[in-house]
Amino acid sequence: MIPTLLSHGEGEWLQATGPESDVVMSTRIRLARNVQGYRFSTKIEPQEAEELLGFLEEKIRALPGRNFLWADLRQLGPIERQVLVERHLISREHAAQDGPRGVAVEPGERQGIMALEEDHLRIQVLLSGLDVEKAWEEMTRLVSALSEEIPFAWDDRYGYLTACPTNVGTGLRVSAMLHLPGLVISRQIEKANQTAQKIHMAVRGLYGEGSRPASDLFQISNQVTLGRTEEDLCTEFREVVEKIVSWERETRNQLLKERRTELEDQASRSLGILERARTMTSEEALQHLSRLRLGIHLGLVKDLSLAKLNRIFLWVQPGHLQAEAGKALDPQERDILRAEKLRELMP
Amino acid sequence: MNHQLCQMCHKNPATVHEYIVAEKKENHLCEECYRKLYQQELTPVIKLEILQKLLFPGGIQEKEGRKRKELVCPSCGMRLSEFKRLGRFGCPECYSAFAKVLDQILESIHDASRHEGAKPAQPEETLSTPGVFRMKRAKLQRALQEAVEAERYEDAARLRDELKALEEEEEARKRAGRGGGGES
Repeated sequence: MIPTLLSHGEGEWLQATGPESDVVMSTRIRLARNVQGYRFSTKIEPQEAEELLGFLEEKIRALPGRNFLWADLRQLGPIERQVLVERHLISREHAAQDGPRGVAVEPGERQGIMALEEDHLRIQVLLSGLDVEKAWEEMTRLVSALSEEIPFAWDDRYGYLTACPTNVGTGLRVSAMLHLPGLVISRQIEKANQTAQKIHMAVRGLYGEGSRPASDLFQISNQVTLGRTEEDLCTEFREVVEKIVSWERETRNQLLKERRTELEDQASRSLGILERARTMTSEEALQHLSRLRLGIHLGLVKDLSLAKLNRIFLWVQPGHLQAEAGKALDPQERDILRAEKLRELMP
Repeated sequence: MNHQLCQMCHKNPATVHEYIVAEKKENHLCEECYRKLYQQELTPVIKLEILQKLLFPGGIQEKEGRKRKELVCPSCGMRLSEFKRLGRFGCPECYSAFAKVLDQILESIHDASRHEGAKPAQPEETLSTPGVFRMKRAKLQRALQEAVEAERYEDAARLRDELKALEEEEEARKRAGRGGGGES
């Protein structure tokens, strides 16, 4: 699976062709489903898990009109698993744990399935930009094809049953990855976070520790999965994200008016460093790439497309660097290779 | 009480204590006599009531009685305390087993306790898998055991027939070679 994914290129969502791509990198919808007659991950016996994994592999591979690539995670090494994590195809937990587990990926990486993660099935659709309706439409078709072959654990009162009660009912999690440098620079991100929490949405910084993630990337998702229809959850989510998007845009324009020289200076310095550095940590790279991304949107950086920048975001991460090198690298080696890769990819 | 002698040989200490529900009779035997009596190996089943009587002949029964009431999922053995520690259920049937406390938990997470979203297009249980077969079989076996213990013999006979029919159906399905994934 991994060589195919790597040679095929990157996920379609990186093309930055979706709506609101200046702020929203991607939209993801995932559904949690379990199979009737099998215990959840907390209680499942190894033999039972093995049987279930075999059953799921057979059904997923045979889905009519689809062409899922399948991998048993036990046959993938740590670098290969890391690549899947960086492509948002499996969770960190799924990569880290032992035991029978699988992953299925459709070649464009729009659709993916984790088998025997916390739930028996975690099904996802991942699209470029903010495209909740399209993602939901695609998900509906995928999950209905699966449900014709697999009996899902279901209860009339509680809906689709999941290992954790935070996912029960619809099993639906909608999330978007947002690039919010404007709100970070103007120190409004905390306000955005608080607003989101009030309406049962969670905002998390990505790729970094502490209050300010290195990349100004944030993930927002719904918290409630029960007592609402899937359509309502999707619509409310889209409305919230649209608000944040317009808020971010206004802030960017405001910043451009008031601090144009400062922003230009930052973007130009970042460009220079990315083109010239000989060693670079992941954090530093993400910080400069984030400034460039803002620079592109504000028209301060020419000759660099969002699609190209998204590709760079992906290829400077540790798993991808090591996959390309074909071996495990220590952090210093990675920093040198990262700088080389940046010089190669920058225009 | 703890050093009761076997009621058959009156020599060895009684280590097997049973209560025969249908006869309302207690037996206190040593392992040797148990084997002689039942012509079978000892199965490690201890009736809780008997154990309590032996261990707590006085008044601790009530405390133990409360402990005994801890909710346990009959299908996977998940205890309520374990669920509270892990925050994860053990199997789909836990949702019925913990129904008493679940609504409150769900309300605190979701401000709701009833599903309002999509329903499966397929009627439940039309798809058969080895897991679905085992689940149905275990349910019937549990119901059968309960019926026997409560001396509901008509129910028990019906359940036994249902169990047999289910097993025959599964055999037929296996022979037809369709449906399930890995046969094991």
